[in-house]
Amino acid sequence: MHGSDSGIREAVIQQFEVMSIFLGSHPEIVESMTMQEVNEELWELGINPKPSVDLTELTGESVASSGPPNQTPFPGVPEFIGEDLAVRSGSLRRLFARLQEIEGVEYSWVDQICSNPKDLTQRFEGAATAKEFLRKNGFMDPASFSIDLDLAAEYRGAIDPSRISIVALYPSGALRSVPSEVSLVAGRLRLRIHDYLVFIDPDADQPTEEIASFWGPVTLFAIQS
Amino acid sequence: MPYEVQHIIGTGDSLLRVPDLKWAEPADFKAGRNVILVHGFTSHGYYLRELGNFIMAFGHQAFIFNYNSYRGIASASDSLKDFLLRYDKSAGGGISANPVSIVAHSMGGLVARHLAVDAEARPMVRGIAMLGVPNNGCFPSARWLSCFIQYGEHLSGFMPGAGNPACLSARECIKADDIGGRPFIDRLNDTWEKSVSCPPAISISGGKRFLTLSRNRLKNWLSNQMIQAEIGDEDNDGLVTEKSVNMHSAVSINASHRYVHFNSYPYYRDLNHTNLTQNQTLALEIVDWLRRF
Repeated sequence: MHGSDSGIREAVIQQFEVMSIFLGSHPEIVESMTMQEVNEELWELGINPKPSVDLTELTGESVASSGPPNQTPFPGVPEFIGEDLAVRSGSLRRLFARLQEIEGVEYSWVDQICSNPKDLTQRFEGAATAKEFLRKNGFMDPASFSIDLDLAAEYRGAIDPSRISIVALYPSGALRSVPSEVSLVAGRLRLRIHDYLVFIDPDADQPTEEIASFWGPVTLFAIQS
Repeated sequence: MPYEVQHIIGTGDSLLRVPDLKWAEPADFKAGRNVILVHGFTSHGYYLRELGNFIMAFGHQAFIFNYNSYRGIASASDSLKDFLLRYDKSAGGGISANPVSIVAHSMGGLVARHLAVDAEARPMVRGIAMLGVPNNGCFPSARWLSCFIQYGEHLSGFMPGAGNPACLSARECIKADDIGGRPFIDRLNDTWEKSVSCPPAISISGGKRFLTLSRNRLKNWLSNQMIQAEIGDEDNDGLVTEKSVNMHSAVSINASHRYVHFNSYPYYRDLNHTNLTQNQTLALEIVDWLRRF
């Protein structure tokens, strides 16, 4: 839920102050960080909701173009609304830490994770009713998009796409399987995901009323059985 | 015993007796009339235990067949057949002499029907009661598959092995497994139609066009809107159409099939695909039907 403009400004200023104090006391961190990494840290703190990143570099050439269907890798399927999709790479270390945070669950499959995680966020427009939300955000239209996952080092050269499952991790801690077409392209896993629904957290109610827009974040990674 | 799909995938299929859900013993097949409950795709049989307990109260011994539902209908059917043959042997022919009835939900009904047309297994099957079984498949779509996986994981927990749409069972259920031939379900229906020795069967459908797929109400609403848009205006239980549950739409039924379809009960419009296994009226209908054979 969005607050007032002044409230948002205050929160952002406060976060900048915290960040400045932290970085000021740890200059070595700043020196060792690239601009890209600083942007990502800011995004993680919620200061910058959509980091300026090179989508082509992060996702491969297939992500989210708005070209006609016959230019897509899967002809006949309308392309995703590219400008609303934000993507960045994550590290396995961070993914493991996040999984460890989720209490009461034992993951027998953690050692089968074979890709680095990728964080995606999709912007949705708010609406007064679910029906209006559906219409404004194009849920009734077939939609799909491609994304590339980098393989974890120990799996490079040892991947069988037919044994790959794609997993989504949500802010609530929910984990879900994501039906997708998986292929190996230039040493990366290329996924074709067929629905916007992947961006909506299944375990957290999402109010859509009285908000202009919101971001649906999800972390995707691959498991080889 | 853990009631998780991952456990089944890791340790193999199992035939459990109700109510303690321990591995069945040969002696269990010697007493009374036996009923095996078979769960649906992406699930395990734990959700059928209440129905099993209810059936037990009418003088039956109930069992739950827990199987890896991703390997295809025939693999599941072969696995159940293997259990029946082994227990028949260890129970001194107790199953051949006293065939089992099967109560199946969703894809489990296709497993049961495939078992019943197997020459070796047929003498061990007395009859089949089917709840929400897609006897003519489900509507094929990648979006639908996404909702199906959501549904399964909402009911049974996260299943990292389930997401691959290349999974044989998913392709069979949506009749997308026809590379080089007819889809599995069509071939099963062909065999059923020609068979003169099919066991008696009853199919039961629901008519509530809404499934709970997650805790998020918005996601539920969106998912159901998309499913219903694909189904069109046909009656359905939120996942499977009335026409697909009713075998008359896919098989030319004659008197030798001893088949009936049942949907004339007071709660038809209130029961979706999930709740079919949890309704007392339908449980009583099944028990009454089992009594006739």
